Amino acid sequence: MLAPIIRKIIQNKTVMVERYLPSKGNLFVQKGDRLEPFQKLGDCMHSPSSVYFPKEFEPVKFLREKVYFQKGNLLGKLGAKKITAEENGYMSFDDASGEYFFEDMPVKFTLLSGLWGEVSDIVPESSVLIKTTVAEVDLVACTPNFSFGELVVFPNPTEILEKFYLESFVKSTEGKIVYVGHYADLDTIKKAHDLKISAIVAGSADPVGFSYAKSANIGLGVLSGFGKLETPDFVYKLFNSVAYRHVFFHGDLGVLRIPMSGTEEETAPSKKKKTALKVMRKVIKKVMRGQKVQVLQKPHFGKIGIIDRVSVSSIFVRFDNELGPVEIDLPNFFIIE
Amino acid sequence: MPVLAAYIGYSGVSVAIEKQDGTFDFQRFPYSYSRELFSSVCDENYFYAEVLEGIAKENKVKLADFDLLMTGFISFPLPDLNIKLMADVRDLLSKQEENFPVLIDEVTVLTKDTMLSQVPIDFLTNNEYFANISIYPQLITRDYNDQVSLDGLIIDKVKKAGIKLTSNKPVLFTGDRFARRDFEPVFKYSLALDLFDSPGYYYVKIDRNNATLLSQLIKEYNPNINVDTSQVIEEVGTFAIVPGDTEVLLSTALDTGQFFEIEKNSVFSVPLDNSITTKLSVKNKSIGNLVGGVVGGTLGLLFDTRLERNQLISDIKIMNTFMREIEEAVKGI
Repeated sequence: MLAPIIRKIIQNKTVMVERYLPSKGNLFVQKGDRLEPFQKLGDCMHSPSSVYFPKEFEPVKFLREKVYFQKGNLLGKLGAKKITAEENGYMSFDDASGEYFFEDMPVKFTLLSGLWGEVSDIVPESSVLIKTTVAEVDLVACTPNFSFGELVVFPNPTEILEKFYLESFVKSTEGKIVYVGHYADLDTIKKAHDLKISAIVAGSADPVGFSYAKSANIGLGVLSGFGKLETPDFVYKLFNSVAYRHVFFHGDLGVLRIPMSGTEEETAPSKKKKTALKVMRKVIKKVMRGQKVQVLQKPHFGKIGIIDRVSVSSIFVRFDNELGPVEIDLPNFFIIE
Repeated sequence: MPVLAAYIGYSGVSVAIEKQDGTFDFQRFPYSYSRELFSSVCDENYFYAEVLEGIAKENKVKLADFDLLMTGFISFPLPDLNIKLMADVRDLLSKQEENFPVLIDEVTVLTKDTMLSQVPIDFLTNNEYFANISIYPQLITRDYNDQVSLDGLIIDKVKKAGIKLTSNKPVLFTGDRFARRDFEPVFKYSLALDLFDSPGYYYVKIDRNNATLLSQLIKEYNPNINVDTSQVIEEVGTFAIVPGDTEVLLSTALDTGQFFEIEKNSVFSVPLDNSITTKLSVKNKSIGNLVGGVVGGTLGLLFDTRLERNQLISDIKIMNTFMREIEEAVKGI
């Protein structure tokens, strides 16, 4: 009996990551420089937010150049509604779109490396291309968003905890990538959207919640599937060990990229690791006793267990909390490595 | 060189592998490439090359020692494989003379005349099972409701598209839906029955490993090779779609005959072998009187007198009777 191998975590040593300034500015690194996550790559002046007004907007005065407004000053009218400046900033006219827009007062933006690696290339005043090593966590379903930010890891496993933690992190979750536990339901996804979390990762999700995330343009990545399924233990352990690290959510590629240090423990190309890398290319394997498998059959859907014995068209799997082995039909499982 | 023919379908890979004595062995690898699962490791090309290498290894042979022929729903070419012949699924189906083939899997319904495809079961649905199938296309379920929903999708798709399965030739159901192992074997028969919409008599076959396509592919490569598919293609029997109360008289040359009445809205099976032709006389209001010869098969002669053709397995009462009928029919042969 043959079955495919799924690799939930893959180490990728040749990833190129582009880090860029939101506006033109200064870069402090050169090609060939070695980088650490908290190293400054550059800085620039940047407005944290800008708002475009509809064409019907009537400005307080006709203008074609940047005009400064203080917070609370009247900017203009939209029908009968008065529009005031929410922050100190500048209003301008965009010739291309024919619309007025308001930008907050520019502040200094500092770009950090966020990862270990080497500068591979530079676009002057704009961006840095970094060659780095990452651990790629496979997301079996995800919205096609891209985002990056600090990884916040909530404890497994209860839903009550998820909401409690989301509430507690109200002031600090904006723009972050949050692992919310085994299961992300619709309420949790909506809450995460309200809190401006850029992406959430969970063991499983509610299909309705997934549709919502897609329509609301929030990143959602699922590790095991749909329904109430658990996050594999070894994935959770990895998340825990890298909590608060800057990570990259690649919805288009179906992976969460976690920058790794490249130190001896994590990435050293020891003889053993080289062998592992060679074997890694195999995508199918003979099913044998003792292998770790992910089961895709109710009521054990998503769980990981060890093969106890192999029959003609099924296998018997032993789970941690079960007394005896459970029969699982071929092809309702994958070998896990 | 011996031949290895492969069909890459929605939920698995079917293979016909030539043995030393020139006969063919049909095998199935019940998994397919899922972008969600494997795209970070490999592409389709690499995956299927590995699968075929693995199958060859299991048979203690080398893939390089075979002429490799390929068909299926995949983005060709596959540069990692030295393929001698690639053929389009529709072309292979259209060359079937003996039967009227109907290919069915979770996203495609294909006959000689019609193609209804790419109605994706994606995860933008409230059904968790469908959502998971979009990630794990090979899944088989032990949950009755999930099976009802999944087969219901196929039936709805066929009916909404107005596809009428009518043919004087035997209707041969093939494709991954029929190659997949079901928890209850009866599900394949009930799906086949539900796909008929027009009253009439149909001789039905079920291809359990895409052997129709594989044998045609081999014939395209070398017309002198004869592939015996009798072990894989099941002769199911005759389906009589006769809505309403029906009177039946069955007789063979050896007996005096058997008369019975079948009430409307039921499914009734008569054990009947496919080795002899039995004389059949039927009285039915909607299709009139009929006298003729009929042959059986695994299920024998199956009468379906339902007035409204709703999905059979969604009606627990009729389905239970149907399951009992099938068990008895199979025992009776």
